[in-house]
Amino acid sequence: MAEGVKKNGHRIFFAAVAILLLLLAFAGYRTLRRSAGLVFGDFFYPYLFVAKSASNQVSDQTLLLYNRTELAARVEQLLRVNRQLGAQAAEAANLRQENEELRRNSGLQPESNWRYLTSEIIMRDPLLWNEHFTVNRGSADGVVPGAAAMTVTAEGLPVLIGVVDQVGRHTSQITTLFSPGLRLSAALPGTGASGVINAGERHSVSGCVPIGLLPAHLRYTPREALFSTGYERNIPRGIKIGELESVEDTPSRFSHQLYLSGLLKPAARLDSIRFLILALRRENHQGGGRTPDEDLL
Amino acid sequence: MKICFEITVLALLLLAELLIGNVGLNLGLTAFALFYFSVTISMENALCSAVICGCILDGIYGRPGLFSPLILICAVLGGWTLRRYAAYHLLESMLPGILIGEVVTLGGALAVRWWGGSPPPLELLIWQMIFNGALGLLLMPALVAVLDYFATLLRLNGFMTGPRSRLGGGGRSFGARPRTVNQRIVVPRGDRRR
Repeated sequence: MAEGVKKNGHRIFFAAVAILLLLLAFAGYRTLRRSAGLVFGDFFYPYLFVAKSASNQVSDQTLLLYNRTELAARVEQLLRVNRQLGAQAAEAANLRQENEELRRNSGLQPESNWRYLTSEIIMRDPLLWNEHFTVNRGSADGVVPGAAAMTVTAEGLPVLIGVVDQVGRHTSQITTLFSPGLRLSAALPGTGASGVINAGERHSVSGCVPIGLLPAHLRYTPREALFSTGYERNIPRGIKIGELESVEDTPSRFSHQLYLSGLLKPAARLDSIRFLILALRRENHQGGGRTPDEDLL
Repeated sequence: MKICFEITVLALLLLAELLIGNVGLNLGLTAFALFYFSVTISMENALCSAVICGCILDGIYGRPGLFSPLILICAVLGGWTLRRYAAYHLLESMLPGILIGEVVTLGGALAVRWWGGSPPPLELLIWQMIFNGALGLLLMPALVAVLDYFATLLRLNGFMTGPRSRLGGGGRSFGARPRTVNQRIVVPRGDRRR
């Protein structure tokens, strides 16, 4: 009898300790979440890097399985693409020079210089596959929170997919447009309006994100392209984000509604993305930049 | 020694889960190992480890909230309800493996919905449940065989080889099917006269 009472006492004590620990864990998680991901990310970085480099080695070795004719054809194709990109880059350089000259002549401040850093995705959450992932660049490479993360389409055009959320020494976490917590401004040059991504009402439409605060008095065209506005300090202006999928019906003349919501279809396909480009301001790299708290996110 | 063994196995499976997660698969490998340790060590130990592993997993991925501890606890308890108290064959661990796979899949979908993300469409979710259930059917016996081999080398209790742990430490086990044997003493005719 006494033993049974003692056992019950032990069970109650164990249950109370377990509940207390769970409460501490749940309550403290929110505080520790921001740093825990970086600590664990940097801890697991060597293992993830080894796994990635091993798979890269295997994929590099598969090139040796092609015969000479196939390899020659691939080389020709790559040379052709390189020539096209070279011509585009030369044209862009001419335009940049013209732009700088015009700005100088008009007395405007010169546009910030950006440098672009390539990175590889080393870890993705299988549950939140499109919402965020971890890349293999960190503060050691000059990455700062709020930096733009982009990918390049098959046509060679840069497309914005998200921003850098947290930065560790060797790794960074990227939050994408599909994450509900990411608010970005987007411009519609065709209409002359701008809206805020993830500000509208959320709909469970696969592959689309809500966009809100679109002025109600303007007319919007489906499939109209959206670009970054440059209002966010570490995001270059004019980077394509996606296309306007739909906008809610325009209110009647007597309605008080000032803004409309719609759906944006991001231009990037995140399912099989592997490499990213991070846009960094040159002044951040030189160490003369502002503190990360001043970034708009 | 058994705690070291448990920590080593869980750490390796956690790392494997991270690497497999990079290809988009949510297998819940730690849930299978936790069920194994709930049988070979104790249910209390497995539940504590489930909370710790779940917190670590959510922390590594930087998820918006703690949901993995709940998923792992439910998976371990779910596997326990289907296990037979005395398993005489390796294939008897298949049923718990199936349920653990289903719980991990459904728990993941619920977690995504809770966090405000985009859960998979119903059709895809059904396919994921079928896939994870089938994988659990194969993975659990394989894991039991491998871990039992190393447990035998380290002279620890195994799933098939050692005594079974009970939920609560005594009394009737939750979810197990005890076997009642009716005993009757038969005294031979000759002995009765004596």
